[in-house]
Amino acid sequence: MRRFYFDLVTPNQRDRDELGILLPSLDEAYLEARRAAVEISRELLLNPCRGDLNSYRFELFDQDRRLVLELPFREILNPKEAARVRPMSGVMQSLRRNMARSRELKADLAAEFQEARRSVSQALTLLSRDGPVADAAIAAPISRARED
Amino acid sequence: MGLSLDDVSRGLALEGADAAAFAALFTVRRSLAKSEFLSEEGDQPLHLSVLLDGFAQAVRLLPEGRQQSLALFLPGDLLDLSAFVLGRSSVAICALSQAVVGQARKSAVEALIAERPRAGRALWQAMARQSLATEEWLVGLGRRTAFERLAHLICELMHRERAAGLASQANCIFPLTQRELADMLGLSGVHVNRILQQLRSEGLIRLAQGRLTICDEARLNAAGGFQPDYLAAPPAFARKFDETLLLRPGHPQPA
Repeated sequence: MRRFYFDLVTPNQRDRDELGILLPSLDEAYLEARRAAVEISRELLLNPCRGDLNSYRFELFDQDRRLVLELPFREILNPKEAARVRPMSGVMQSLRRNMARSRELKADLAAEFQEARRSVSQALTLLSRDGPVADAAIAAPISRARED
Repeated sequence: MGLSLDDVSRGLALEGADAAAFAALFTVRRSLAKSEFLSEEGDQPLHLSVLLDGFAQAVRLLPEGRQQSLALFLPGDLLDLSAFVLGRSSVAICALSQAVVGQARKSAVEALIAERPRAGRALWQAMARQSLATEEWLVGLGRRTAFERLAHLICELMHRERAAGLASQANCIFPLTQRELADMLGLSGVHVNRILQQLRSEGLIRLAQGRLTICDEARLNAAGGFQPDYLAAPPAFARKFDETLLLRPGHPQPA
């Protein structure tokens, strides 16, 4: 689980998210932002001082406060029009999303390798305490995987 | 920490020998870790369970990881009463913090109700109170704005913790994560976050280290449309029931 921050940006202000939410992945964060945009739009529609909802957007930040995703409310409110008016931005956004996702996957993989290495080295320590065992045979698959 | 079984009897407005006999039924004690399930949807409970310490919720799991919380339980609350009566759980019961549960065998409770009608009345009344709380949640989910829902839940939590002796003045335990709040209020976590921050920036609440302080209770009550009547025990019903019993010879009286 990692923390994501969801700032709501309107023409007049930025509602900075100070609390953040723990979510399993950027994909989940994206879905969460969509759900929230729908809910918030629905409530704001009843509020006469809301301004133009089409100019609202969510900016998602990761735990280091790096921008990882933008979600304009326009994409939710008029999905077809949004695709027509800003085709490039849609592509850019999906690229950005993909890059952030790859970054995340890489970090996850690295963490998993580290964990696996730790368990193996623990196992080796334990085994060597009990007597000679073919430790090379155990270490081999991991070192191979690391080279991939 | 935690309630004694005598406290539970008192909370159900049982007295004397009725209270003692009811408390004596709870022979099993179970500890739950946070997020541990006491029972699941579809279970056929063999026990009546009461929460003695910690917090718990009734929750219905939906496809794609969605879930809706249907009740919040504090110490002294009987858990999943309808399952006890009807024989099948329609919800899962899950601990929201470390929790302790007391359990009485179903057959023993049924025997006690036959022997001591006031125990039956107490369970009946507890069920009616829980159904009032459910109605209040239903109104919130159906008609209140997100801001009103959260304000209302905070007011309810404070009120109930005071009644259970867990809150000191305007400061209470706040055991709920954003995700759990979202599942109670039928909102997204992001939306819950924004409203929590709004409540803070408007000077209505403070949150720190798992505790919540209400800074302006009158204003928060008004914001959430909170009226605590539905949480109060209706003593008139208990009294009337007991008076009727007193007129009938042959029923055991409280000592």
